[in-house]
Amino acid sequence: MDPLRLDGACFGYGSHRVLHDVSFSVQAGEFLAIVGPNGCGKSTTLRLLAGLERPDAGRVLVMGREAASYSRRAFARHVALLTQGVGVPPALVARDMVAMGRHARQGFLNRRSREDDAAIDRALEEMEVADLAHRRMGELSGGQVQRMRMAMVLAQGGDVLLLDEPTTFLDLRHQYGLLRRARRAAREGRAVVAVLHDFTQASLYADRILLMHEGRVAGHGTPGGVLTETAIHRVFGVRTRGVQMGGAVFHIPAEP
Amino acid sequence: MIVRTGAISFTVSGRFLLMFPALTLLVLALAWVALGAGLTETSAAERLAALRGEGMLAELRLPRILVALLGGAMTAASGMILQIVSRNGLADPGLLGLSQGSVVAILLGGVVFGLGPQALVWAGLAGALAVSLLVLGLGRGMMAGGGIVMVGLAVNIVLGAVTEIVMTSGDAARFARLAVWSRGTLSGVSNGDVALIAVWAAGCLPVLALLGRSLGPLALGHDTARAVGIDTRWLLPVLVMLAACLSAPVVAVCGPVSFLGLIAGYVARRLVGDAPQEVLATGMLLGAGVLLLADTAGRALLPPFVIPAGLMTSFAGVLVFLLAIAAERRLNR
Repeated sequence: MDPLRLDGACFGYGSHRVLHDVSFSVQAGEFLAIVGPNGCGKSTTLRLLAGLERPDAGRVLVMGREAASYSRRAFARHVALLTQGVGVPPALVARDMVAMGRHARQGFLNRRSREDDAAIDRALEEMEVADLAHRRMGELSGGQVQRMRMAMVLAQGGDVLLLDEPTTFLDLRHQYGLLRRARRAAREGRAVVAVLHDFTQASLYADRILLMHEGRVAGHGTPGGVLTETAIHRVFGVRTRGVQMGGAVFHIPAEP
Repeated sequence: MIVRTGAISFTVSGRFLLMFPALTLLVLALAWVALGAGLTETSAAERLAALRGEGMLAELRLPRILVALLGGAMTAASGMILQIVSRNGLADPGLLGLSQGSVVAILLGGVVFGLGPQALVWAGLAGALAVSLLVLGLGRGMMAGGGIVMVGLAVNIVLGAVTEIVMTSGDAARFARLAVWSRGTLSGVSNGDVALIAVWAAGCLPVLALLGRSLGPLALGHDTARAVGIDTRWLLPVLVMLAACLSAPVVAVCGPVSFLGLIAGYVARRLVGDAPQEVLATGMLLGAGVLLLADTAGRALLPPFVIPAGLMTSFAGVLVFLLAIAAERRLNR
């Protein structure tokens, strides 16, 4: 059983069709990067996987069960999602925000167990923000806020990790750090899906690439197999030259 | 700070541990002063007798103080819930038009259909719910900015006009009575009103306590809240209903007391931070204190005239409103 499976999923906002018959699955231990041009349905696909939207047709299976059949609480114990950020309350203490990732594991009376604290500490360490944990969110930089948000998602745990443009606001060092952490989550046995913009990073860290184009799957496989010059031209409408080096795929414009 | 005993564990901030008891003492002291404030001197013995339910004060001033405390706390809670739902610190049952919705429904219920006090609360609740659906529906998608406040303002103006029409369509005596009530006043409050408000408080506050844990993630956006395990599809409507249930009975008894939620939420966040349950508890205490202060000051400032408590809170509220907007500007820059 694959932790994540999309089966002929179609979805639209009102009369506007966003996804047409999208099918793919993600195995435990696999890091899948979704890439594609703006408006191709990347984020919507992630929203379906996160159970935030229901497909109009087709199925979304999470741990072998229809996503919509879970309660939000049970779902959150399996699937953690890093959303694209909206503002956070400025006076909120960072550690308290990270602790919210544990919501589905806390009870009415047991609101901060030792396991919660251990998971929070570990997540803060991993995102290198432990020293900022006592600060208020309004005092942190954009990149620090994003790392705190990632720490919250890591503290949540579960079998599936979904990341929507996780490297936003991050400097290069922390972009690599976050992607390395995402890859490690996959190595630890989770299914990881990230919407990414940078091919090079996607090819370097992800095991497989899902290339999307106008709401359809335009390619699915290894980075070298999917991110070809022909595919890039077809999907993005630009001619590039692809170079492979150290497992990464680079594309430079043919006519800069 | 984390407290753990057996299966129970929770966190509490140092600031809250400091502020909450201090504010409690302050509000109690204020209540003691309010019990004595008036045209005639009141001895400590008389006040103590009133607390035992004996004497004139127990009939006149004590219910007024209790309604101020309870009603202030409930109105503040209503506003802070709306602030969390709309993710806008300026939300308030007065500013968003919920109170005015109650006012119109109560006026129509009382003047046109001659309803009794308990029925008027239900009418007020219906009015508040109708307006909250309208405002939150129209303002959806502009929650975080000032958009929802603009929608509330527009609704307020329309409902204000309806209020004026109902009020002016009767004799002068009725107009005078309704005019004072529609500004928000605690004069003429009886022990029956205390009981009426207390019942609603007793019904609403446990629900609020039960839902309190879910309020934190809501502040991070509805998607994030759902992702960590909160079912916003039922939580948000329940919270809006709760906000209406907390504000409507107060409007039925005292008329609309504007800005109380705004003041309470703003000051509470300054005092204790952004942990919603601590903000709510602190803000309710502040709401109680501010309404009591407004009513007492309104009685004591220019005797024998009584300035309606609603007008007093409006003065203070506009000030806080401007401060809040200025602070938001600074943050956005």
